[in-house]
This record gives sequence, structure tokens and C-alpha cells, in this order.
Amino acid sequence: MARRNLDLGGFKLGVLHLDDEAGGAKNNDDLVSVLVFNVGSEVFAVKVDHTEGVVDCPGISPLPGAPAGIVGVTSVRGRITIVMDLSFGRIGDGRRRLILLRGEAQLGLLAGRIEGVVALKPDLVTKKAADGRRTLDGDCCFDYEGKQVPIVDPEKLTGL
Amino acid sequence: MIEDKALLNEYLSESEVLLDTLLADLDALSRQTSIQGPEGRGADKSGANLVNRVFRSVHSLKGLSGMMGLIEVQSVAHEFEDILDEVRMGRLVIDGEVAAALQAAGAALAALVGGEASGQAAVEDFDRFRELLSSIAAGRSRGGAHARAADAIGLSERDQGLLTEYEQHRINVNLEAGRHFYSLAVQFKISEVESRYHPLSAAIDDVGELLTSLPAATSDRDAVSFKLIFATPFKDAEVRKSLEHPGRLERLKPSTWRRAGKALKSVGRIQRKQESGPASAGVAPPLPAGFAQESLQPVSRSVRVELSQIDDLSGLAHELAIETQRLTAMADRFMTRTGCSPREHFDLKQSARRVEREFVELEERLVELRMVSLAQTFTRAGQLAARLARRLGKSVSIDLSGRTTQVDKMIVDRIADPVHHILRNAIDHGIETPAERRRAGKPARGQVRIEARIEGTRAIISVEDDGKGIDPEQVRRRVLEIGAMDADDQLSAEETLRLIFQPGFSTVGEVSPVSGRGVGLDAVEMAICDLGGEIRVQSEKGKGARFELAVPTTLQMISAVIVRIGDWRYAVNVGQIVELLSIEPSDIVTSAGRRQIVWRGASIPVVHLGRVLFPERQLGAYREQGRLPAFVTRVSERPVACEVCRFEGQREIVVKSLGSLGGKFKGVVGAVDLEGGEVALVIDLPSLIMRRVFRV
Repeated sequence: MARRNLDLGGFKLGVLHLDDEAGGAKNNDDLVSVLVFNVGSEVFAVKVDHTEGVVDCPGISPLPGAPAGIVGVTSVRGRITIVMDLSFGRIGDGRRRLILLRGEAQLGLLAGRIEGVVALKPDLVTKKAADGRRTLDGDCCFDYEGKQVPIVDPEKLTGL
Repeated sequence: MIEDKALLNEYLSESEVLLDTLLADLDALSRQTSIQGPEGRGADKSGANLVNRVFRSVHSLKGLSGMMGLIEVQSVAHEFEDILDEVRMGRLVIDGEVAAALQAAGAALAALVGGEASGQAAVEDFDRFRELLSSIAAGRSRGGAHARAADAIGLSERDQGLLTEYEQHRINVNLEAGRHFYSLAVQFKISEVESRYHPLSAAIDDVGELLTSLPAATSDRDAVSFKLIFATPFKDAEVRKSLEHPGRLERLKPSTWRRAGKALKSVGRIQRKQESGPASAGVAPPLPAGFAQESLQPVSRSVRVELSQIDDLSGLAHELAIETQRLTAMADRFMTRTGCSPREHFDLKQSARRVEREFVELEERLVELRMVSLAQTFTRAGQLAARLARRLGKSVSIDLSGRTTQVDKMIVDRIADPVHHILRNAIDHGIETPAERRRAGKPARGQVRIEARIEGTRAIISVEDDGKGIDPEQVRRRVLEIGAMDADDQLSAEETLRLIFQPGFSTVGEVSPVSGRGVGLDAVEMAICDLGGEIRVQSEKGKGARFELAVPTTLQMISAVIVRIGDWRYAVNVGQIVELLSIEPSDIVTSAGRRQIVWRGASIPVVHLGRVLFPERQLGAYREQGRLPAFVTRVSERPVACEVCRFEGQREIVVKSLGSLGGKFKGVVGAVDLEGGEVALVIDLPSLIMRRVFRV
């Protein structure tokens, strides 16, 4: 599988191409690149185009009256960022990263480990089956190492 | 002419944006006409959109000029609007010459705007502009039946009655172009209309032209239904594939189109090509020398900058100031270790302080860039009041004072609606009719005064009238009716007046066409509190009422007291602190479940700020030994003591936004970076305490 390098705001990653054919040259414009990350024991993904970068998470100040999923606020490169935890508190201790999302909502996603970037053919992205759980992620997912990984939709996050 | 310099600059700045768009669109229209020809432009949706944009620009310019008292500009803009309406309705076809004449008219209007605003435009200039417009209008086709095209696509009589003339025209144009017509019936929950309608109309725009949205009946009280009628050149299968939507998609009577098309032709469709021939020879006389000369020179000497760009620069300046502090500390340690001379040490510190001061000054200057005057708001308020008074048959004189008061742009934007609401109430419910006023021994003409002034770090905007005032007895009766107090509650006159801010309050028995039910003062108060301000009211029955909005002049840079609550620090606007206290724990008395202390001879409630911020946490988590640091704040003019863990000094801070979601976190107006990378939330005390303590 072809690997390329991607720089996410200073955080460098190799890009893994996932498709249904082995090898061969790919037209990168057709592919959807997603950043795969762990939050506790759960795995999520977010489109690379929706991100501004990945940083080590600075200290977080709690926000009074914030809904579940919002941990608090922090400051990254001078910009106040609202920190969200997609696992609703199950992220655990240990080193934490912050995935900065583009947009006026100034959101950042708390992450444990960054797995990497996966380039997908669009037809590998499917609709998630509804399982009645309350989630902050979006309606789409893809198959990654035998698991259905939900792709976070920043628009849905802002509807909290 | 606009004499007020600040107002003139604002007018020129806003009109320049409109004129730039207008001229660019006229240019695009001219190019499109030369590529497609006049017939092609009509059927082309992008051409129709361009004409609509040009129309809107002139319309907006007309409104803006009227607001500024530039009546001549308003008048010629209105005439220009009429010409453009003829174009929209297909009664004036744009060929190359007409397009050129419209461009000349746009340029001439731009010259007139600048000239009139600075008092340099002559009457002859306006007369020449009118001549130009007349020559364009001469190309307009006259008479001819405007066939009922809506019949041809099978719309019901009811739906046809809802179409505007312009929509009928667009249906006609699309019929002539041989397009297919569809109706998409949709239903949305009321809360989802905004978020779902726009993507759907954009999807329709991708396949064709959305002609109209017609209301449809629904039995669901929480939903709205409508039919989207659109025309498309695509075939059925492609349309259905492109518009994947749960609504019902229906093609509209295809066989009728051809009959309609023939019928339209048979009733003598206006053959604009022939008619426009002779008229076009008279179009667009050259502008005479000396006419308010066109120029490439912009009319405005200002630059429009997004607020976010100023915020970014402020943030950068703040970061630089903080980094300078860190560098200074590092250099200090380095110099001590390397044994530099006292003189070198002193020079370093002096330089660092100077750089830091300059960054702070840069921050302050950038904050000042956000300041705008209240002139436009006041002018609009004055015009609104005059219009309302005329509509209600009341005679009112409006007195405006303090128009040049400078306030942060965001605050100006956010107080506009509250001021509007209070003014509307003053005219509708406050000022009496002339007959009523004469009976009361007052002059027939009522007075409304709108004033702005600066008091320290706050701007005070007041709306005062000499009407009938607020009747405390009526207020009391109404509040008892809505169950917001008990019959034996004893309230002072001031407290009774404040009851008008209760949700659901209104003393007005009927719905007024002007100010509805009179409800909404609770929303007004909330809007002002969200800004970190407060609203005060004074009234005397029979004599009048006065509402005062006290708002910060800026949300960007404030003087704040930093307090510690547990592990975290918070910033409180100095303007919200009445007095700092140091309370002996034994001075706190608990009565009926409420903690109180005596302050200035009166019992006031005491709350711990930690419990207000995070009610779920235990008080013991914050308790410290010895005397308790606290401060007194006012919540709707009621003093409340707020206990904290520690005071950590006062400083000037730059408040950073929490982004587009910031408004969801009530009681928090922003955040500030502190040394060590910590973020302190900037809290709005009255709002926080009101929500968490008094309105739970």
C-alpha cells in the first residue's frame, strides 16, 4: 500500500491508502482522507479537511453549565478552544492530544492516541446503523481493521 | 450634505460597498449580454440573479441615503430602481446599448453619492442623471398582455393568486425556454426550517431555477409545509437523482406547456427586438462635461476590516506581550548566572518593560478600532419613532443626544434590538394621543428623548418619554394574575417596577399591531445582561418613564479582578464589583436556608462563587481558613455578596471570544490567557447569579 506524508499543522503523519485493490497508482483527488484516533477504548475518525492541526493538549479550564461531552476550554496558539470528549469522560489518564477543528466554533477534540491518516475511496464510507446510543459524531463510518469507525461531523458537534 | 464627520464616513464606507457591488454586477451583465444577446440573458438564471442583485444594491443605497437625509440621492435611486424593475419584469430588454447606459448610470450614481454627501453635487447634476434614466426608459416596451403563465403549468387558482408579478414573469421566461416544471412538497419541523430549507433550495438551484415557495396546509402544529416550484432543463430521472429528498416531487402538466407556449405566442407576445430598435437609438447620451465626474477614486477614505481580523491582531499583540514577560524572566536568570553588570541588568529590564508597554498599547489601539459611534443607531431610532408615531396617530417630537458616543461595534449591533423594543413600547404604550394629552393638561405633542453618555467603562443609553408612565397598581395586579408573586408580598416601588421584566408579563389587554402584546422586556433584560450590562427603569404614573441600558463600552479590553476558586482562576469585570470585603465566618447568618450578612446596615444574600459556577460541587471543596474574601455585586440593583477563595490582583485584560458557540455558555463572556498558559474564564456576574440563584 502506498504511503505518503501529511503535515497536520506541525504534526507529521504517514497516510495509509485503504481501497479494494492492492497497489496501483491512485488519483488523490478522488480519495477522502480521515484522521483516525482513539478516545479511551473507542476509535473515531475525522476528515483531514476539517482539521487545522494536532497538538499536545494544554491544561483545560472547566466550563460551568457545559453539556456532557464538553470538557472545558484551553488556549492553543492564542486562540481559545472548546475541548470536546467524544467518550463522555472515558478517555482515561495518560498523554492526551487535541485535534483542532476548522471553523468559527473553535472546537478541539480530545484524543488519546493518534492512529494515523487513512485515505479512502468515497464508496467505502457508509451510513452508520442507528444503535440508540447518544453520540456527538456524525452519520457516516468506514471499516477499519475490522471495526466500524464513525466519522465525526463537525456540523453535528456544533448542534449541542 | 452630511455635516457630522463620523456619520459621513460611515455613509461613504457603507455606500462604497454597495456601489462596488453594483458596478461589478452591471459590468458582468454587460459582458453576459454581449455573449448571449438579449434573448439569451432573459432565460438564463444567472442573468436574472444579476439583475436582482443590481436591483437590491440600488434599493439598499436608496434606503441608506434616505436614512442619512440625502433626499435627492434617494429620489434618483428610486427612479433607477424603477428602470431596473422594468428589466426584471422583462418589459425592458437589455441589449448592448442599454447595458452600457446602465453602467453609465451606475457610475453617475456613484459620483452623485460622493458629491451629495460632501455637499458638492449641483441640482444640474441630478437633472442630467434623470435625463440619462429617461433615455434608458424610452426603450421600455409598452402595453401587451402578460399572459397567465401559471395557468400553463397547472397551478391551482389559489397558488396562482400567491405569485408575485416577478414570479409570473420568471415562469413565462422558463416556459419560453422550454424548461420542465416541478413541484416539490416538503414539510419541516419549525425548529429545522432554517437548517433544512437553505440546503434544499441550493440543491434545486444546482439543477434549475427555484421560482417560488408556496405555503401548504399541515395538521402538524410544530411543522410548516410548502411547495417549491422550480424549472429545470434536465430530464426527470436526473432531477429525481439530484434531489434526494423525502418530499413529494411531482412534474407539472407537461402537455399544457406546449399549448401555453403557442397561446402566448398567439396573443401577440411583445416582439421586443422590433420595438427596441427605434428606441435604442436614443439611449445613453454621453455624459456632458462638468457632470458630477466619474472617477476611479474611491468615494471613501476608510478601509473595511472584519472584526475577526482585529481580534486576531489583538490576540497576537497579547501573545507578544506575554512572551516578552517570559523572555525577560529568562534573560534575568541568564544574566544573574553569567554575572552581568548591574547596568546591563538595568538596561535589559528597561528595554523589556518598554517593549511590553508598547505591545499593551498596540492591544489598546486595536481595541479602539472596534469602536463605532451610535450615530447610525440613533438616526434609525429617530426615524422609526417618527414612523411609529404617524402610524398610531400620535404627535411626538424625538430628541437625540450623544450620537457620537463610541462603543464596541458588537455592542452597538446587540443593543439595537433592545433599544428598538423600548422605543416601540414608549410610543405605543407610553405616549398618549393628542386628545388624551390635552385632557391631562399636557402639550398635545409628546416627547421622547434618546440619549447616550459614557460613565467610566460603561455607556448609558436612555430612552425617556413624557407619557402616562407605568402604573404600579396595574403592574401588581398583572403579576398576581400570572402568579409571579403572592398577594401578601410587600414590595417597594422600585421592586414593583422591576416586575415588568418578568417573563410573560404584559399589562396590555389587546395585541397591538405595533408592539404585539407588550411582552418581551424579559428578553430585553436578558440581552443586556448577556453583554455584561444591566437595565434600569424609573417611572411616575401620569408623568412618563425612563429606561436606562448600562452596557460596557467594549467587551474586548477590560479592567478585571482575578479571583481563585479552587484550582481555577476567573476574571470579573471591575465594573461589576461594588466593594471588596473580608468576611468573618461568624458574620454569616443562615435564615430560611439562605446565607446572609449585614452590609451597609442591610441584610444581603451571600453566595459562594464556586457553587454558582458549579452547583454540583460540595462547598467544602472550596472552604479555606480564616476570613473569607468576597465582593459585593449588584444583580438587578440588588446587592449580593460573592465569596471566593482568594483575590489575585487586578489587571487590564483582553477578553477573547469563545467562538460561535460562546453564546451557549450563559454567564461566560469570554476567556483570557494568563501567565503559565492557564486560561481564566471571564464571567458575567449578574447574569450568572440571576440564572443560578434567583431564577432557578
